[in-house]
Amino acid sequence: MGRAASPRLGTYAGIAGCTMFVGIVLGSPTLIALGAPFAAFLAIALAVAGQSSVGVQCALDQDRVMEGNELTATLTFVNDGPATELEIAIGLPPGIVRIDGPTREVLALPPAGTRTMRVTLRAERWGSYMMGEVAVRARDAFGVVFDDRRYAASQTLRVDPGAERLRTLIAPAATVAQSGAHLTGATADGIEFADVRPFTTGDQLRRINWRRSARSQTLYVNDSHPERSGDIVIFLDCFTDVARDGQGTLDRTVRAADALARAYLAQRDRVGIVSFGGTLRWLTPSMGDRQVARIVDVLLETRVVFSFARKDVAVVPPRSLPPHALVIALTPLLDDRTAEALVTLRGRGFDMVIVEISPTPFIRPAATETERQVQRLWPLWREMLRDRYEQLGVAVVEWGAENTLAELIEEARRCRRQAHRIRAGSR
Amino acid sequence: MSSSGAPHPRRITLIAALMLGLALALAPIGTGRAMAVELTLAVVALVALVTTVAVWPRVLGVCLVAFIVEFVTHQMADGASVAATILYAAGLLTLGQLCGWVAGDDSSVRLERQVVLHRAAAAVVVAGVGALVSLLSLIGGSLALESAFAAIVVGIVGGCALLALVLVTLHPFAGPTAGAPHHGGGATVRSTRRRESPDE
Repeated sequence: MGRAASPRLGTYAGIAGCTMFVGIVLGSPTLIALGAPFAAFLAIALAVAGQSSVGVQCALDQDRVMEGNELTATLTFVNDGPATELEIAIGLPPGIVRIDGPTREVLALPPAGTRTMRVTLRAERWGSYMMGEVAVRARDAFGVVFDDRRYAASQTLRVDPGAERLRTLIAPAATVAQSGAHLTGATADGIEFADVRPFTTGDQLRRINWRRSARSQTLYVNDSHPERSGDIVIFLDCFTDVARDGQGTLDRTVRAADALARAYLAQRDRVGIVSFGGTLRWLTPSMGDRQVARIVDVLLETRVVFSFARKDVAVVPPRSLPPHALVIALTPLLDDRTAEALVTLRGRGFDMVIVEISPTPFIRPAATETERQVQRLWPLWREMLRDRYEQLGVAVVEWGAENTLAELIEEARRCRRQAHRIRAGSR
Repeated sequence: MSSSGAPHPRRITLIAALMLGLALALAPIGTGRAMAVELTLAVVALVALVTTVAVWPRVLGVCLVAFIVEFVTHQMADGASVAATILYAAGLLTLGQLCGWVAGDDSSVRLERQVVLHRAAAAVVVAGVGALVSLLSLIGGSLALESAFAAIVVGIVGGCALLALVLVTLHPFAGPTAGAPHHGGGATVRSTRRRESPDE
């Protein structure tokens, strides 16, 4: 980095020197006439070149975008020297691409002036990015001397995952005493009709069922089911990531968590998050738009951090797991630590659903006989693990290559309904 | 140029350099006894030119020297007019400039229309400077033949002045980075990673 000369400079100097020396020695004006232009060119080009100095400023029009959206970066070049050409190379982080041209470009630069350039970018993948660096090469008119510099941008760009919209959600088994969207079995003030009962002191007059009262010549009132909110804890398994071609289990985990969190928060549930991996992160359940932003911030920085540490749920702060919360675990079921933690949580009585992010679509095909045998046995082992959870009363749904998150949620609801019927039948 | 259908300016520059090189190589080939030598030098010069623009730009010196030797051989064998010498000198200088642009640009780099126009103007200026200096050299050379000592002194002084200009331009007293704003550098993508929960 810094100032450098074109290889032509040495070549021209050598040719000029040699031809003029030999021309003088041999007394050949032709040789001098062929060599002198190179010397004159060098003299003019070096006199014009001077000391170039180009400063770069980079600004983004947004610091937060949704995945797939476009944004504009404004690059301002301040030229304090005689440079007339500026070659720029924009180094973008993976996941951000330029869509209005190549990342390398040669611009005309006014000497001792300013030039502004707008670059349209597209956020291809969710994440939290420090915008890349800009490498510039300032050249004079003849390109004999150039000045290379690099400028690192300091602005952070957050790209939120494009969330799938969920129409139905898994209802928590228990609710909290706050109005929400989940219908409870209890009778109290609400909208959904539950039953009719005789009027008692303290009942509101507007709840009187006048038809029933007229038929029986005594006052009756309507009872209704109240709508309550629930506590939802999204449990992320961040110990492993099986990925191929830019997609993987962690990517799906983050997308699913984002979709679930947005959907639950939209219907006034309290949502928290526990990111269980090499580093533990959590958010206590809360509601509102601010919680959406906080959850997305946690999700954007979710990554696999390798760790040998033996971890269990004891490291999770108790207040991040409220009693009676519905725990939705998003896991590829590959790490023993997560498997054990989920068993422990279920043992503590948490209502739980496991969304198994299947790593199968991301595994490369078996190349050897041994790998083929392993890939035959592996699904059996996973099936055994699923059976273990189902025996504990946990609904396990597998997210494979072809189904969507909404289908999985529907499947989980069906599993829970069936389990409820079985429990009710056995009583 | 930004339009996708138009050929890339680098390709146009490359073709122009090759055409000019071909013209410079073929122009001095005469019919005299030095024709074999001239042909050999022309082939060497063209091979060096193709190597320069396609593979290794540092071979430019070999290419230019081959052209000069070819022309001088032709001039010594068959003679050459003043106009031919002037045009040849201007052509050589322009060829060097075109090769410099070809080497400096990459086919993935987009050039603004204004840059292309600037370069075209610069090429014309370079050719003009080459022709003018060559003409002046020829005039000076014919005068200096009467006083070889004066010619040698002027040549040495001119060489020293050029060397001093090169050294001063490339190694300024204040150091290579003086006057340039420092905006940092280094890592391209960083993601902050906090060990504790954000709500703590």
